[in-house]
Amino acid sequence: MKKYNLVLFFIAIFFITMGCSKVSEVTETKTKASEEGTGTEPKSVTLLYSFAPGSLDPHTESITVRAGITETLVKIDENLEIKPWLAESWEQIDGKTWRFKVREGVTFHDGLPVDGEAVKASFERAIEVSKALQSLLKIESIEADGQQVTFKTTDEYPAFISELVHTNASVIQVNAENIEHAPIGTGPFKVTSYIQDVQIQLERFEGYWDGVAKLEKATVKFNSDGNVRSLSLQSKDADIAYHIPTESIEIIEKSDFLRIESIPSLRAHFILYNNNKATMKDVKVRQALDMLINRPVIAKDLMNGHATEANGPFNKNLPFGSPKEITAFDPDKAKALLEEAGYHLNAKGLMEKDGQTLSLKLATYQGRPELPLMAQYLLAEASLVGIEIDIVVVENVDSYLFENQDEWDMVTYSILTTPRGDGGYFFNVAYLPAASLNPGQIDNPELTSLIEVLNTTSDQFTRNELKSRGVEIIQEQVPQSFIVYPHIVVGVNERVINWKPGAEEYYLLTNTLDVK
Amino acid sequence: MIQIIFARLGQMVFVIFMLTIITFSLMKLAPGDPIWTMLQVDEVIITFEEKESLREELLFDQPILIQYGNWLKNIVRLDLGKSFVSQQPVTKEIGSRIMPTLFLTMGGLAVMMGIALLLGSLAAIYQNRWIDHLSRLLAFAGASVPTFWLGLIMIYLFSVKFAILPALEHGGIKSLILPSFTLGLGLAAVYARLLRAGLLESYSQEYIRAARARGIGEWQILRVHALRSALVPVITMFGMSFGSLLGGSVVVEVLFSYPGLGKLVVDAVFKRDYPLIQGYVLFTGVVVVFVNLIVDLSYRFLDPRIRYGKGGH
Repeated sequence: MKKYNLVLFFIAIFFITMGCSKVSEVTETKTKASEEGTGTEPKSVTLLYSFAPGSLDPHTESITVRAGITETLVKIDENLEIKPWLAESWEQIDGKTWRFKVREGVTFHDGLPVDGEAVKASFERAIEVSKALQSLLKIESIEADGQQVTFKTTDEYPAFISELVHTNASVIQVNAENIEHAPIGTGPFKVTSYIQDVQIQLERFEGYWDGVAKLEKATVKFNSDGNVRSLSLQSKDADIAYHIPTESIEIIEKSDFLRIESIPSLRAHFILYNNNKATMKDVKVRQALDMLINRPVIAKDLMNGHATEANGPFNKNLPFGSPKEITAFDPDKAKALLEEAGYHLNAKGLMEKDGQTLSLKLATYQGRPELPLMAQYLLAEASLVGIEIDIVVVENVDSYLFENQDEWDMVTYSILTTPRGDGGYFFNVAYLPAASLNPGQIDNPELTSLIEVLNTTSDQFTRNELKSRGVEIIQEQVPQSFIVYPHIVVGVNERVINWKPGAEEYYLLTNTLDVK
Repeated sequence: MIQIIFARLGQMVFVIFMLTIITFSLMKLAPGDPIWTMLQVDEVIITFEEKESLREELLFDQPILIQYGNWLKNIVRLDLGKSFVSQQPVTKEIGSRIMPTLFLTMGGLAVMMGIALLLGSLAAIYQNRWIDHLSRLLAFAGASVPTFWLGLIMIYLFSVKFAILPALEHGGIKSLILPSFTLGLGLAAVYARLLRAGLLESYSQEYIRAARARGIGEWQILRVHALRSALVPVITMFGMSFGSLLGGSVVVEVLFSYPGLGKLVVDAVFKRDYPLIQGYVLFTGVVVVFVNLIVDLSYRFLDPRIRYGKGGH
């Protein structure tokens, strides 16, 4: 009997320790996001995003534009064209001078008007706190006069207007007390609370210049685990969840209250060849490897159809994207090209030239789970034509590539090629000899001089022509093999209406977003 | 007693000094470049000249020993520096994470202690009976299940299937339940077995038999006599694992978007945010040494033989 008492005693301890005195709190009806919007509950959504910002400072983080808190002078529309936003209009006075007319009647969340002086003060702070933005915008001086603001750049800088789309160029009230936690912007939503790494709570700004938001409240939450994001959508803890992992897509598609939105992103997954290595300097070897990439299979099977096959760095929907067909998977032609390059199959069935077999080291990294799979797939296809590939998985890919330039022959890589709708960025970072994303030391004189011309050309039509020509050179010389443009995959609750994700992934919470 | 405390504090300074040297060297040897993190924000065109000028500005081009010396000088002035990434003082960054981490740790410990006490004691009392086998089975299962999987299963069951607990809520007891169970269940397994072994040893002691002979009730024997001495190894192990519990709950923190120290430091490691990593190591070092000091002192309370300086039986 005493022993049974003991059992009861421990069960009691167990429950007390568990904090079950709070059981009433636990079992109380869960207020689901989906249940809001009916009756007297305010209309709201919860958006779940993968990357948590370090703070809410709009000049160092992107989240404030994404969450509809701040806005920039210009934005890109769904066709990735530059459109007025806080600036009503602009003109380029000369190569270095740009004048903007700030929209009348726009106020910050604290009610103060947005004029030239406010924009000037915001930009001065932005380039002071963000070294990246300082180097991006190359601003020498800013002058304000009424609703006008005039920027002078240090050099002739035609890309200035498109770089103003950068989220860190947000216009904010610089006199706000706690910019890192509660920035005061001009967007449709204002911050009510912020917990770093966890969530931002927002309420609509009643004085929004472009029409007050349909939603009264919104929450942006952060979670870096794809499975948790997907589960949160299924449990209705989130209404919109970004970057749904491939394995969860089917479950969401089958759900009767959820849908998947999938659109090609501005990113490209590709293989970068190391120009430091003698083998890779031979264009025929690069072309042969390019033909061993089975793009349709990668897009369909490896990425479950949530990727578009690539024919160059830029999506063909862009004005400077190439209309050319993708390189077909053709092992026979690849073999012929290698033979033209002086290789022959040896007794072991391996490609050999001057007594050296064609053995290549392919670096990859786990950061984007599909990249190591692509590496394995290429390894299998390359072995069919006698190329040996040794895959090395590295942790910090950029550091590895730059610090070990004699070790690797090729790498699976991924870059946002048109972050602000202008391909000039990718040409500059990936092809100039001393560029920051050119660890393969690509040095093509024709491409370099084209980039120099591009960097001083203002006319959009000529710029697009130049970029298209650049793409042609890339297709001929194959410094990289572009594989796919991965899609942005977003899980959405059916109650969310008037909303679609954009390829630019900048404007997530908008004034038109609504719920049923 | 005071002598012991002072001796321990002396040891603490030495341990932390060694810890700073090891971490500083390891961080510098590991591949990765904080300059990338600082400049490569949202696809901005950066040239090598700009990278190198920032490197000079931050004195990263100086020899390691000088960098280490500079950092140590600031530490003496209680200045842990600023995070490279957020530009916030390291003390503020760490300070803002202490309470959430403590709550999570306490939640995890409550679950662990509850389960370990229940399973460990039942297993010892009903040795080799079905309840002991069940406890062993649960202990093996608990120790083998990876935390991230357990967390996902918890969310699936309690948030998606039964819809009784939130997957991603912050604040309040409700939001602590799933993370605490995920953290505590795995740990409980080991402690339950440890407690069972300790209790069985206690039960074999003569003073327990003497207590039974005096007619003292079974549960009182357990609570007053057996459990106290059985807790000594449990508390020792707890002291040793407290540090890792503070920083090691990172998987749970990532799964449940919990703003704790573990997540902060793992992000800092990936971004090579040296000041934050160093500050964290220093902080954890101090906490671990303090906890061990408290653990040592607690023996004196739990086991009178230690208090009175008597050994053996």
